[in-house]
Formats: sequence, structure tokens, C-alpha cells
Amino acid sequence: MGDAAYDAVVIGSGAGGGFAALGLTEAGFKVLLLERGPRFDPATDYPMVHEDWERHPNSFRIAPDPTVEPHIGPPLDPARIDLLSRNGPAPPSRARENRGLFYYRRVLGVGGTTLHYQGEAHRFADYAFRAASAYGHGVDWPIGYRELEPYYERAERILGVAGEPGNPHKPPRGSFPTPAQSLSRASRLIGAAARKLGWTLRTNTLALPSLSVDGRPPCQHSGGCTTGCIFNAKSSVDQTAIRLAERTGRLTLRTRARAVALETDARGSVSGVVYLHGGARRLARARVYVLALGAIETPRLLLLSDANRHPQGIGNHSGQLGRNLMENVSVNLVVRFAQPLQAYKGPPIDARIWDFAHPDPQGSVQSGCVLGVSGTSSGFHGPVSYALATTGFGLAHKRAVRNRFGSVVSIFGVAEQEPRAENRVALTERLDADGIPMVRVHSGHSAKDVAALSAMIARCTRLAKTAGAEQTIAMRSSYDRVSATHVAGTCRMGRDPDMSVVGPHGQVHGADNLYIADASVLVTQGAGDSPSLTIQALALRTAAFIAQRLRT
Amino acid sequence: MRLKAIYGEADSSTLQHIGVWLPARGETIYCMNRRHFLKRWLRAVATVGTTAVTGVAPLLRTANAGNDALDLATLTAVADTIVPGDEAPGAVDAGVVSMLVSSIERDPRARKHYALGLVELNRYTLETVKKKFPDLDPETRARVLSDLTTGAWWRRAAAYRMIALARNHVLVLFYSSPAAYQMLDYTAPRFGYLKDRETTSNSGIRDG
Repeated sequence: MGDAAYDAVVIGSGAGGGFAALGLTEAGFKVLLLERGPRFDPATDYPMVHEDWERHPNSFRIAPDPTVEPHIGPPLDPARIDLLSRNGPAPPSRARENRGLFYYRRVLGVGGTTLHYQGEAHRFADYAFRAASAYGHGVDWPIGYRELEPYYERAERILGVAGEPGNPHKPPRGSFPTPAQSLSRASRLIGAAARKLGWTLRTNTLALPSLSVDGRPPCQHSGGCTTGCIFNAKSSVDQTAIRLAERTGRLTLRTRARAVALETDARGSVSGVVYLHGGARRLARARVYVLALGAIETPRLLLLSDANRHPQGIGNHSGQLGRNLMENVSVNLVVRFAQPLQAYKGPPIDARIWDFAHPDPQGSVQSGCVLGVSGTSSGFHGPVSYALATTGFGLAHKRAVRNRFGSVVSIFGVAEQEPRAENRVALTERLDADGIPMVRVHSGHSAKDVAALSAMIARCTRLAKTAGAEQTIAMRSSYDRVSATHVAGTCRMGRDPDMSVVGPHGQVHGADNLYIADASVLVTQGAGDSPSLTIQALALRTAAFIAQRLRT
Repeated sequence: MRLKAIYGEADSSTLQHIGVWLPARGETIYCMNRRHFLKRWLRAVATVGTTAVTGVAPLLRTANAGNDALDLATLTAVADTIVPGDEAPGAVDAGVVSMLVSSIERDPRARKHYALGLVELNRYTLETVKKKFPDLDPETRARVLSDLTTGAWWRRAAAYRMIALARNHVLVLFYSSPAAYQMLDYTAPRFGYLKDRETTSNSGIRDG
């Protein structure tokens, strides 16, 4: 069964796919957007619509994913037992033999993982695009900050990003579409401590507009980003790019449609995409195809497609497909303060310290790292979370919950992971429920990554202590807990087809009508910044390139 | 021992992320991720809602039905021991028991553990202090629950499991109730907090 004629099929409606679809429809092209998940209705589908929201399960499936075979990572270095995640004042027990299982944390649904993201919208710094020449990290990007800047600006306008210019660690820029969010009590307290240490806690730049954007209300400070914004305030992709694309009248959005294979013709170009929808196998054809399934699923689709013409997978002439996987090298220190901070209110990650973002080839964190403060992403949010995490029962328990409610925040650090070929996504023999080969993820930390962890733990601990934190409740580290939220890099962008999977415009080497517009193309991870805005800017840039080619 | 990590002294001021113990198939007890465990049960609870209290009718019907009958008086006493009333209402005043019963009735596995555990709890108190659990004073009840979840807990695994389940279930239901919100001066996030946010300038921090 065929579909009506489209100019482009975009697969995946998250940060990359949504913005690619917007760029193409605005340029006048008809787009079929395939999304594997459903479309959520913020007015009814998210737990926080209920007053007793903590009784309601999360609508997003972030549980172990049946399409990724959970994989036990490489062995831990027992000498670095100090990096092991731990709870409370107890010392780490013993180094487990392996890293934790890889659970792919993403959301299936219109808007993708932006449905649960906390709205961090960062432009990568200019040096982040020159990671190899600036600080000996992976390879350089084939493009620089200046080439991406106009697309960053456009993406920020669409999202209504709230922020404050003047961050000396970022390239100079104009004002943000909406003013910065005011800082939470916790961030003010920790900001004062940072000052004592000679560091500067700055307001974060967030896709949580502080003023109404496109008829949506401004951020209501509910702290509910991760379970779905019930106010339509968070600029997730379903509320922004996809709404705008729908207004052009040229977008066909098909939900619960899972792409399972690409077909190619004799020239190696893609001739169709096979997808499952309503219990049937369907074929969609278009002039170009854009993959935006994320850094695990995009290489998976390419690896399993068209075994006859591309035995190594489409676009895998270089052997780099699925390799160079990057997670986040991250540390999260959950601390309790003596005073009530109402930590459940406000944008979850409202402030960051960029003082260590600039990589130091001699320093402990050669890749750069950013420290942040979060009120609600510590696992402590509503009353129920405090009650369950407080030990015991009875009157003492009740008093403890009363005294501590709202006083737990997390201080975290994020560094970029060294891209290495052995960290990769590979097909397995096992099949998922739809009969598609599962993938296995291999991901370990290099010596540099471990050094970054070590330095971040020291800095977070110092900051917590200076701020007067009464107790460290937990320390979580990507040493043993796979940090699978910001996976990237598996279809690396580059000029040399022998070293990369896509070219500087996201075009897959060896398949002239196939493009990738998601985190897979990231060459490095931006020295600790969050990737979504860069994914969106790259998607707009790829869409502009496709539009130009389709016109000629 | 894992148990102490979960049921540490109520007075020790240790907050920590806890695992929740659940009996697996084959009677092995293992630790599950809290979120994972709650998800299944929350589905049962979500259908109950705050206001849609269905009462105790189903419970009374099954009270005479056989070995797996629930003992409402004991369940109420357990809930009252987990969150007692003080200057603020406790679990019983907040209407937790009827919600708990409704959700147990929707979850056959939980129901079995409650039924067996409540019987074992009373057997234990009759043996040790010659009274049924509901007839004990609050201090003794608290001590009994502590005793059954520490030390040689495995000798009375059914009671242990029931208490572990009840602790988490009662806490979820109580701390998402209007009574708890009032006690904590908490407003549900569905109303937004934009208006309460202090609007002091950030400049002090920015330029610091």
C-alpha cells in the first residue's frame, strides 16, 4: 500500500524531526512525519493535572525499553571505588563488576524526549566545535559556531527561550526572546556560596518562556517538566515546531507509525520507508528522507536496512555507523538543607555555573564541565517522594517529613564524554515484539571521563559544603549508572566519508536523498551543555539545505 | 542487613533513597526500584481517586469468604501506626483506610499479602503480648511493627511483607491527600506557582 506523494518523509518527531519538518513545510514542501508514539494531550494525559498527582503513574514509558537489549557495560575499575554511586552517609559498598544496565531513556510520542526534558536550551560555545584542535578531544566538527548561529537564533525565537545575555563563557549575542527566569531560593543560596568560592552561578537559558509565546502561557513554575507540562508552557516540540508546521497545511503527521526498514534503489538512493501502522506494513515514498529517531534508533534502522545492497548497513562505508556513542559524564549530588527552600517550585534547572566550561588541556576536566543546580530533579519533589524516602514510620517519621519537605536539591555536574569507537550501538540476534533486531549498547568511560567525574564530585561537594548543606543524601555518578538521556554521536558528521557517516549538512554519505537530523550527528557534546538546541538548529540547517536542493 | 537500611530507627534522622521489598515468584525477596514497583500499584490507586472513596463494603463482603479475608480493624490500626494523628490529622482521619481497601481489592497479589500478613501480625501479638494488634496502645503497636521488620524478620515473612507494603501504600495515600497538603502548606502544582515566586532581582548573583 502506498502513500500520497510527499516531498519528504521525516521519521521521528522529537527535537530534530520536529524542526526538520518545520523547516521543510515552511519552505513549501509536503512532509509526512512518522511518529512511533501517540500524541499526548497536556490537559488530560499528564499526572500533574490531578491534585493528587503523585498517585498517578507517568504517561511516558521510560522503563527498560524492549527494543534495546539491556547490556552490562565494561568492567569498572575497582581502584576508583570513590566514584561509585551511593546513598546517604554510608560509604560505597563495593565496586560492582560492571556498569549498570543500559536503559535508553527517551519518550515515544509527538515531541519525543522534549516531552520530558527540562527545557535547557544551550548554544554550544564556539570552541566546542573545535574540540580536537582546542583540547584534543575526539575530532573537530566540519562546521563552526558562525555557520550555526542564524539557526540557533531562529530556534530560540520559536521556543521563546528565556535567558540573560552577557555570559562571558559563550560567544557574544543579542537579547533572548524572553527575559531570564527569576532564581529559586535554592539557587540564590547556592549562588551566594559559589561567590565565596569565586565561581558564578548564572541563570540558565531555558525553553521555558518567561512571557507568553505564540498564545501559550509563560512557565508556571510547577516543576513538572519531566512528567509533561500541563500548561502548554514548556516549549516542547509538539507545542512549537509541530504546531507551526501544522499551520502551513503541508504536514501529515502519522502517530503510532513505526519505521522498520529503508528500501534503496540501484544507485543507492533511498526509494521508500517501510513502516508499521494500524497492524499493517506500509510503504511511504518521497523525494527525500530524514531520519530523526535518536542516537540509538537511527543507527539501528540504518544497520538493519537493506542487507542486499548495503550488507554493513546504509551509510556505513566508513565502518563508523553506530560508533562514537556519547552519553553524559555526570555527577549528581543530592543534598538537604536545614531551612525550607520550597524546592518543588520553579524551573527544575534554573541555574548553572559555566566557570569550568572552557576546556583546560592541562586540567582535570579536559572536556570542559558545567555545574548546575536543580530543585526538583533530585528524585525529591512532592510530599510523597519525601515521605517514601524518609526511613521508618510513626510520629518521628511524620515530624521528619514535615521538617524536611522542600529542602532537598541536587547539585550536579556534566562533562562531555570522550567520543571513542568502542562505545557503540550494534545489532543483536534477539528480536523485539515487531520482529526487528534489538540493539546492544556498549558504553564505558575512558581515563579522561573518569578524571572528569572525579573533578566534578570534588567541585559539587565543595559547593554543597560552602552552601551549608546539612546532609548528603545520595551521590550518583555515571561511573556505574549509565547516563542515557543525552546519547549522541552514532552517525558522526564530517567531511571525510571514510571517517564519518553524514556530511556537513546531515546528508548520509553514499545515499544522496537520505539525511539525518538528530543527536546522532553530533561530533562532540558541547563541553557539558545540553544538546537539544543544537539538534534543533542543525535540523533547521539541514532542512534549508534540502529545500535548496529540492528546488534546483 | 538490607532491612535496616529501609526500616532504620525511626528517630535516626537519615533520609535516603530506599528500595522497596516485594516478594517475587518462588518466595524470594528482592529489592526493586521504588519507581518501578509503585507504577503497577499506582495504576490500581489512580482509579480510586481522592474523592471516589468506595467505602468498606467489598471488604466486609469478603470478610467471611475464607482464609484470605482482610481484617479491617487490624488494617486500620496498622495505618494509624504508620501515620498517627498529632496536631495534624493522621492516616485514619485523612480517609486513607477506605482508599487503601479499594486499591487492595483491585490488586490480587497485594490482597493476598495483606490478608496473610494481617493474620500473622495478630498471631504474633497474641503470642507475645496476649492481645490482638488493634487492642494494643500506640507505643506497643509501633514497637511491634519495628520488631517484625528488623532482626529475624524472615521468621514472620508474611507479616514483614504486609508491613512493607502497607508502609509505602499508606504513605502514598496520606501524603497525596488534602490533609497532608494542608499540614505541609503545600499547593498542588496544577495551579502553578508563578504568583508565589519571589521576584527579587537576580543581579546580585549574576554579578557576584
